[in-house]
Order: sequence, then C-alpha cells, then structure tokens
Amino acid sequence: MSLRMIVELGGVVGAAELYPDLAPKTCAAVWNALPMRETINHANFSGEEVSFPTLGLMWEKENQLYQCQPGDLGYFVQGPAICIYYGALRVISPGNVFGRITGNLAPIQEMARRSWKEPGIRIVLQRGES
Amino acid sequence: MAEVTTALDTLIARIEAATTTLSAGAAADVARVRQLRGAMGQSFTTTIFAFQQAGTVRDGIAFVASLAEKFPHESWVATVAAEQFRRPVATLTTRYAMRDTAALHTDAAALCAGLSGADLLRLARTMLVYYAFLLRRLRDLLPFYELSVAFEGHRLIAERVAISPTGEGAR
Repeated sequence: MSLRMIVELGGVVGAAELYPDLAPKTCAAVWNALPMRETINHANFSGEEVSFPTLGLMWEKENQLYQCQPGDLGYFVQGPAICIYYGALRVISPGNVFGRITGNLAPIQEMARRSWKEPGIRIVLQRGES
Repeated sequence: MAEVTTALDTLIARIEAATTTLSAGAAADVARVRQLRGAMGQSFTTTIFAFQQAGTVRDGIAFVASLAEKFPHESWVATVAAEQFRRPVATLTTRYAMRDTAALHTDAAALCAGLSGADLLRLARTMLVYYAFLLRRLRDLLPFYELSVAFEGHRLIAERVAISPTGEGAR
C-alpha cells in the first residue's frame, strides 16, 4: 500500500511518501494523527534538521537510521517529535525514519534553512492519497 | 489499588492539561522563566540554564521510562522513579520559578510507591510528552541564531588579540 502525505512548510507545499513496509507502526501512528499543525524549531546540534513536538503517538523504535537522506522524515520516540532531515546531518539520536519528502524538496529545504534565522515558521502535515 | 489508579488517572489528566497549555503557549512557568533575572540583571544565563535543566530532568524521566519498560515486575523501580521525580523539585522551584512543573513532580513522586510497572511507564511517558512541549517553549525564548553570531564574533575577536578571559596573554 502506498501512503502519501502533503507537507506544507512556511507556505511551500511538497509531497512525501511514507514507508509502511519499513516502519509500519510509525506510519500508522503518524497517519492516524494527521492533520498536524505546529511551528518548527531548527536543530541546534545535529545539522540540517527541523522538528516539532507531538503527543506520544507511539513508543516503539523502528527503522532507526544514522545515515539519513535529504528529505527523510523521522519520528523521535523519546522526545516525542517529528523531524525533517533536510540536508547535511550528523545524527546523534536516531528517529524512526518513516518516509521521505519527494515532491518539491528544494524549496522546502530552503524554507527549513530559513528557520535557523527566522523562528516561528509554520508546518502543516496532512493526508494525501492512500 | 483502585484508589491509586484513580489518583494516577487524575494526575495524568493534569499533566495532559498542562501539556495542552504549553502547546498553546500559555504556560505560567515559561512566563516566569522569561521574567527571571540573573547576575548583572540579565536574563540570558537564567533562561539557557532553565532550558538545560529541563533537558536534564527530561533525561531522568526517560531513564525511569526505560527502567519501567525493562523491569516491569521489579518493585525497586518505583523507588527509583519516586526519587527521580522528587530530585529536581527544589531546583525547578527555587532557581527557575517553575512551580507548576515542580508540583507535577511532587505529586508524581508521592504516587510512585503504589504503582505497577505498567502504570509507572504510563506516568513517565506522559511526563516525557509534557517535557517535549516545555523544552520547545523554553527553547523559543532563546534566539540561537543571534547568539551563535555573537558568540562566533566574540571568539574571533578573542583569538585575534589573543586575550584570555582572565587577561593573560594580552599583547
């Protein structure tokens, strides 16, 4: 089954593909919690990553990766938070990688990068086609 | 046991309500941290130390959650959990004026002795979510971009003129 999610960051709209084969529990938990609306914070330590806190959607570790690709989406279990790994990164504490932004990534990366200087950028995650 | 469960449900409902308040940006604890003044009347050190302290407390709660998950039938976990919840109360109250957060810790610590491993895990995880939102709000008080620019500039100047913080090495 293919699950797609619409990612809107600071007014820039992109599309993400979820990975139910690699992270079935995380995908289900995130999917069931959509839509989500928050403001992002830029990472202070790990590199090109933005995130926002969530309720405890699930607590299991699943498909945790230290080597992420630009656009990968993670769910940080201990936090809990949803993370967008948008560029160069040194992962310190891995999250459950449950999908990747595949559509319109470049402007989303630019907006994520801006959030380091301009806090308060809003994010909306909502269901796309399934 | 039913009374303890009822008390736990009540406390968890309070923590969740406090999390909702944090999410809405209306928490009194965060407002009080914002008003704190440290040495020389500035608020940078009090704010960043409050942020750091909350992160340390969060790590302690994650430790409790991990113990409760790995040793669900060991009664000593409740003793450790009670101490872990109690330990930061004085610091949160006296240094950072985070009285509402400290009150949640006090009540959690008082409840731990009668809780099962599953209940301890539920309590710890509810607090972890609370701390995710608390840390986010405290972080929002800190302009990390501007601070990083100022810090790198200060470091560059210090290295160029080779002056240590104590003045040694000045030339």
